[in-house]
Amino acid sequence: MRKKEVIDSDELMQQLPCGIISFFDDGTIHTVNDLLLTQLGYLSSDLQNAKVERILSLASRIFYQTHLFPLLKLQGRVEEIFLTLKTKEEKEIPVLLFGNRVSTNGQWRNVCLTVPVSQRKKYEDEILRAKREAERIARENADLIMIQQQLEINTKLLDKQIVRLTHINEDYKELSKVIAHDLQEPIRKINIFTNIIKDHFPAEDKKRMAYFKKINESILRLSQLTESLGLYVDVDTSNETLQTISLSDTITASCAQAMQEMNFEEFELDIDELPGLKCFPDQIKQLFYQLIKNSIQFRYPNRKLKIAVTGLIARYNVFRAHENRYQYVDFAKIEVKDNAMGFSNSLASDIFRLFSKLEKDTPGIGFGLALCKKIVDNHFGTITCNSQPGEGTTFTILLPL
Amino acid sequence: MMMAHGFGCDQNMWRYILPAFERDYRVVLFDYVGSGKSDLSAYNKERYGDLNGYAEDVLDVCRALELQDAIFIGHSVSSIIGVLAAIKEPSYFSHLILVGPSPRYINEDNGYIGGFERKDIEDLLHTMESNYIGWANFLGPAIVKNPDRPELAAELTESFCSTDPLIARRFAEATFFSDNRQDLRKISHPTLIMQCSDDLIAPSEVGDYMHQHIKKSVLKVLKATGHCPHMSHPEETIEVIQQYLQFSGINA
Repeated sequence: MRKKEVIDSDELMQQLPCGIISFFDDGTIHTVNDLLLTQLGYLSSDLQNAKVERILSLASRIFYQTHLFPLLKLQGRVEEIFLTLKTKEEKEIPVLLFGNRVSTNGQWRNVCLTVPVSQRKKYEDEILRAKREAERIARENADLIMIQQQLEINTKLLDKQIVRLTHINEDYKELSKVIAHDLQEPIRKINIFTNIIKDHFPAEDKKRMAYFKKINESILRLSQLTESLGLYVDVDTSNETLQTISLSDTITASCAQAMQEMNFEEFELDIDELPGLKCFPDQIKQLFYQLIKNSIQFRYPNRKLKIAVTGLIARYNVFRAHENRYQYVDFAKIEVKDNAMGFSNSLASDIFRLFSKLEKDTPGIGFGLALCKKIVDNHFGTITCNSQPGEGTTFTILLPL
Repeated sequence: MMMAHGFGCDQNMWRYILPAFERDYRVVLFDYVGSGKSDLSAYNKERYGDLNGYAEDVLDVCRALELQDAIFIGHSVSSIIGVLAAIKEPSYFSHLILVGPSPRYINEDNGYIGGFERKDIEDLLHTMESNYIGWANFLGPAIVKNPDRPELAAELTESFCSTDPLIARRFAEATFFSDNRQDLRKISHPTLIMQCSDDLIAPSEVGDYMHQHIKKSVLKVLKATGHCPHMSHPEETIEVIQQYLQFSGINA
């Protein structure tokens, strides 16, 4: 029987058939055993005060930072980590690494052993390659089958929707005609005959005059409503083509139009540098005209109206109807901010409804913002608003570029 | 205060930082979908093939918790994810604190230094693929629900940096191949850039670039080395964050 020897731990470390390295939390190397030094082609003095990253390939350095060190620190140990060591001659050695954290006198060190796995790695790479290929084929197959099924469903759906849209479009054109001519005609006649009755059969009765006034007001309102309705419907039936425009120029033109039509000039308009936009130019001009008009209508009498338009490009998901589809593309994000009266945010979703008014006595008929929403919808964008009573309102428009 | 973990691990990365702030702030920690203990059934490869998808995660959390003027602390790729989120919804955030950020990891011909060549990143993807940390977690819910094998549950709780190979690969691709240099100038928030000394993943040139292109930014070079100062040098990390908050006039 052999005599049991007491082996010095340093000696044992040098005798073990594996690489041994320990390093501090900041990466500074503490010890490396001779076998690992030989494998790496370094002298012990070469690695004095060096960082552990010195002996890692670039990819393994990243992995060390993103995974290995966090794991050691959080878990206290790591097992079976695959890394690539880099020798002094820049050759790569694939290894498996096992590590432990130990504390001596309050100083933490990470003690790791490395086992070269060149042969095994070659084999494993082959397996990985085969696995990846098999997975790719399986995935593509599954994707293809899914796409095929979806395509089948979508084609049918699309066909129905096209038929439906064609009908709606025809209806709209019809409606547009009805509003422009058929509806206007009786209104015009009521107006004429009411005036004839009023003028030719003068009455002393004050009550009767008051009724006539009411009839006239209603006629005016009815004709405003039909006119607006006509505009609203026309946005969809116009034959405008897509063009690339300068947003700043368009907004300036919208502003001039609003100033002229509202006969109001006492406000500041601040337009930031804005992206170019492919759109239906007349609609976009109308959009900003309505927004500026809205600010003018709801301004504070004693506060100078300020409108600021800012914009930037950010990436948003282009899919809106399909819940599980994502593709991030550039959108223009445009904000129109004023210091007008504002309103409670709880009403924010109501304001884009056709002929909806927040308060009965406010000017307008509740048409402008509904038109804005429709125009934005026509461009596959979104419009939202954020308002604070007394502070002002910000409209945020997202339009795909 | 919101802390967003980087590529690799999960919210556990913040455990050395958290105690310094949780008394004075409401601190929000979360795992991105696909990381940590997130619900893997919510993973969508299209959404999470783009950093904007991860930014949506940040915004979803903000929306759900109705955050306003939060201090956003993002590590590594989460810096850029936070930048994207703050551009989209500025009002959720008051300040951005970016730990080891980089808008572009790959060097460009026009002299931009990101620190890596495309080949390096492909090698990294290969290294990722050859490591199976906690891969058992991803074999499917059946194995997790298996009461006969309690050791599997134990393994789950231990694997902070578990990686589903496909998810990790896609996250790595979204991270290391992205180019967000154009987004930096869109940031209007006061921003602290925490640049480590000797950080391989985000070298000092990248920190300088970030500082030049974010209007209201302060660049602080840490004594800490490496890429994870919140883990390797938590004291200095905490001190720098606190100094910045004080400098910004934020009283907790």
